[in-house]
Amino acid sequence: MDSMADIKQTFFQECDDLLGELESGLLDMEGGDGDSETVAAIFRAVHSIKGGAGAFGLDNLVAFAHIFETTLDEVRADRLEATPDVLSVLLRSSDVLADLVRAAQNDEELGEEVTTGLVEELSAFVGEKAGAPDEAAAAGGEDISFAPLGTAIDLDDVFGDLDSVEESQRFIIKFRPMPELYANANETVLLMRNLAAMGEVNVACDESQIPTLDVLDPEGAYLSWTITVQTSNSEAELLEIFEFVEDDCTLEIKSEELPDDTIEPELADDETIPAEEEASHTDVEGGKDGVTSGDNTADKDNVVSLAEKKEKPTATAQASKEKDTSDATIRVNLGRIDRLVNLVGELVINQAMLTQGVFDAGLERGDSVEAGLEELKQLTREIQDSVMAIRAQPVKALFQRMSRIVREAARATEKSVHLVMEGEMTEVDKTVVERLADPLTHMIRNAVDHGLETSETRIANGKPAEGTVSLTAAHRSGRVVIEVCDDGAGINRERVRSIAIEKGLISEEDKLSDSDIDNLLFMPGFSTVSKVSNLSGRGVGMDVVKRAIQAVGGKISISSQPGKGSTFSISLPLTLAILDGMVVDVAEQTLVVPLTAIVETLKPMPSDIHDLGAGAKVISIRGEFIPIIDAGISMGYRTEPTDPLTGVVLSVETEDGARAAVIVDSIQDQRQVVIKSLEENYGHVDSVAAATILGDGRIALILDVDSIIDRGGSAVSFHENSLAATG
Amino acid sequence: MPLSVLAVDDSRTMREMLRLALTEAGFEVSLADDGEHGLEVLDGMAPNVIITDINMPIMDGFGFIEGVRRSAEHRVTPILVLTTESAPELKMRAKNAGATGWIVKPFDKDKLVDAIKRVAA
Amino acid sequence: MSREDIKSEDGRIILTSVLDLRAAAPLTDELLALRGNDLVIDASKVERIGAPCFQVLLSAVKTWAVAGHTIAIFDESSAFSEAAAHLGVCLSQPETIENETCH
Repeated sequence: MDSMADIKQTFFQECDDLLGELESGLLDMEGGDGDSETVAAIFRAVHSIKGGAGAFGLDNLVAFAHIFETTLDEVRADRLEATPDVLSVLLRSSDVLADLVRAAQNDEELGEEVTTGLVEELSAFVGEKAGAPDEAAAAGGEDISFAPLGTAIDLDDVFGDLDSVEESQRFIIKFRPMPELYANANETVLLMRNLAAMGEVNVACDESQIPTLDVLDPEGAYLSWTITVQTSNSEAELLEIFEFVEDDCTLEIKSEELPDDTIEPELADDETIPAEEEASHTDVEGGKDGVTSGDNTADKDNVVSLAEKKEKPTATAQASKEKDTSDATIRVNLGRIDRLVNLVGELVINQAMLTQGVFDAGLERGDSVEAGLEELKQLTREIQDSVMAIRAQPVKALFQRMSRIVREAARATEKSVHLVMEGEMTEVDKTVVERLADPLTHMIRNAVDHGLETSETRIANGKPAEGTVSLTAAHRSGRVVIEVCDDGAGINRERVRSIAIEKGLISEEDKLSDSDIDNLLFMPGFSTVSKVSNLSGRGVGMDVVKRAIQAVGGKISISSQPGKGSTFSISLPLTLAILDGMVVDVAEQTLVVPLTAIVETLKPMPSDIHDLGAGAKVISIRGEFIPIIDAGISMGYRTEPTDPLTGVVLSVETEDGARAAVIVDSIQDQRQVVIKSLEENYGHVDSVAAATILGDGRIALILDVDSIIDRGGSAVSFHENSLAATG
Repeated sequence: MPLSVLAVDDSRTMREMLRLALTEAGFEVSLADDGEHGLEVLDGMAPNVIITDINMPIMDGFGFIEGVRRSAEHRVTPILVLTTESAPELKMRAKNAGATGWIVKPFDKDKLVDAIKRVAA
Repeated sequence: MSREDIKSEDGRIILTSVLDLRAAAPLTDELLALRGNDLVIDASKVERIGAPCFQVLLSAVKTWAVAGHTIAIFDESSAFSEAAAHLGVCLSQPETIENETCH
């Protein structure tokens, strides 16, 4: 960290964390789980954002954070009850605060209309207390007992021109410290030194109050001073020296040799502190002794919080320990982690090559080298897992963004929606998490907009007026499954079917199963809404969602029950860097087929193969006819199709359920391979998803199953065939 | 010998800003995340000046100041409160807890440095 | 006052280097224990001294004077002299007020 620009980066990173804490805290409160620490944490989050924003001169952010904070302070102080209405405004405020942060980060200015409405709503909660931050600061500055400095400086600014700067003035200062001055680590010697730096000083010390040693309080305050200062500094600057001790002393500053037309006499009266001494002294006593002085709420707070603190020292110690172990984090540049991931990938490859090399050299089974290699393999695997874990992030932040989407969608559609989240701590690769944001947003919007019925309809159907959308994440057999579920009307299959016919996606004669119809939603160009609502019409269909999910190696599926709701389920790989693959031979080349795409492998019987003419063949697998694709031809390794009977058939299925039988010559192995992207170096290559390096050092291409199916026949007609066959 | 300063603030941003400003001014800077952490860090060091935020999790600035003042070793170490709160009753509370001085955020670097020098023995 | 003036039967203390607020009470106790004799105080080691410890020293001077004894401070470090000058305190006993350390 060496410059303000870096720190500004830190600030925005911190804002992300704080905004997350803010939202999850507010959601906890909404769910009835919020205690006073939750409210305090929420307040701190907004407060910290405001503080940082102030340091970088982000005035819009400061202004909004201030009114937001003021409202939260009311909640914190139990002066404002966190009713659902209040929480709704607070949640929306947190959304707007996030927008303002984002805008500031991008050096954009958001229009006033973004905040105006909310500022009014927030102000309504706090009554007259709200005000711009500078007003609040001014109010603080006007507090005579603590900071007369503000007023003094202003006067100096206004009248400064009247006195020439060089003109030297003589001030007489009477200064009598109280014991509190010393107890709070202020020191007269330092004050005097600072005064001496301002000009010519003459100090007269009054030692008359000093008692004899036997009755002396060593930490009492017995000395007082009269100081004459000849200085060109202003009175305000003199006062500044005493800024920290004003409440702990009596201070009188008088100016000699005054021009007649100044307002100095008035000033002198104002700044003669003894008049205030009684009052401030009482406050001090009240606070220290824990005696509440009736009208002084600050003292009350003080007493309460002190009492609480004393009651639970072990609890805080506990909390801090937990914090030490579980929350201790370090920020690492992503580039470094990616480099580590790459290196570990190389290590995995190298380890495999080493193993192969050792056995190729004709090593005896049971040799100690074999045991060592086995251990190395184990360690390599563990390192790999640990490195992948570094890139893994809980989906919590992503889910929290969705709660905002639900709120917005609910408002736009005037539906009442409750979002339930589960498994937020489930971890997924960072890149996957990032790329899920858009598809998930769309799915959530769809669930609210299309999935849920209006409250009236729900009530009419005997359902609770408030719809529920649930968002869950879980680990399931080596993959992460994220589900968006609504308790709405379910998919209207009749309508989906008729729309699909209308759009020419299927023909009227096609017989489709329920699941086929549901899957029509994922077809390009399909949209179930006949009227464009506030939310739809954004030009994004479920086909785009599906492609986005496939792009991160995921699958999406849908299930729906009429009247009960729909569930969209996304299944994702834990990492993008490693793939479970089947290593196969095709025309003397080695290829890797992603295991996730393979349904089964089989040796076909002659009776299974059916010739459709024009070189097109299908295979019958348990009564279904599936088109045959020769991997060798798809990849351009050969021009003449191989006899399906001599090869092995891999029955594959794409994410959208399209199936094909891919013919390969033989299967070598099934193993995890490290994915090496080709796109960085070669651009996109049809039919090839990526490459990997095998144990023997050879490079193998990873087959892009979707792509070869697309290329293996006209995708649409194929799809129809497939649907017809399964139906 | 350079003056040593312990700065306690829960905001990473603020800690980094303080580190930058104070290091540039030639101070030796130590940092802590909250009051309790501050007391831990303080154990075993003797800063010339302590700077602390008020609003912090686990242990706030008031608790921290009281903790410092209770310690035999550090009870006379000057403590400057650095916070966005300008409300007089909060200042008074900090004073009663034992704060030496008060600086309102966003801080002016020169003023902060000046204030540190002013209270540093 | 100089070293040559010190008589062997005098009580004698050496001030510690840091005389902040914390040092005031121990200093008071130390001084109280030496009542009844003339006292010499070595201020050569003082690196820092605040007003409270000056109060203790001033109180001692007063206490000794009341009892008819003398206190003499010698070998003042520059930090000690500087602080005394800033505070405008005079540590000489009333009898020696004409002494040039105070004016």
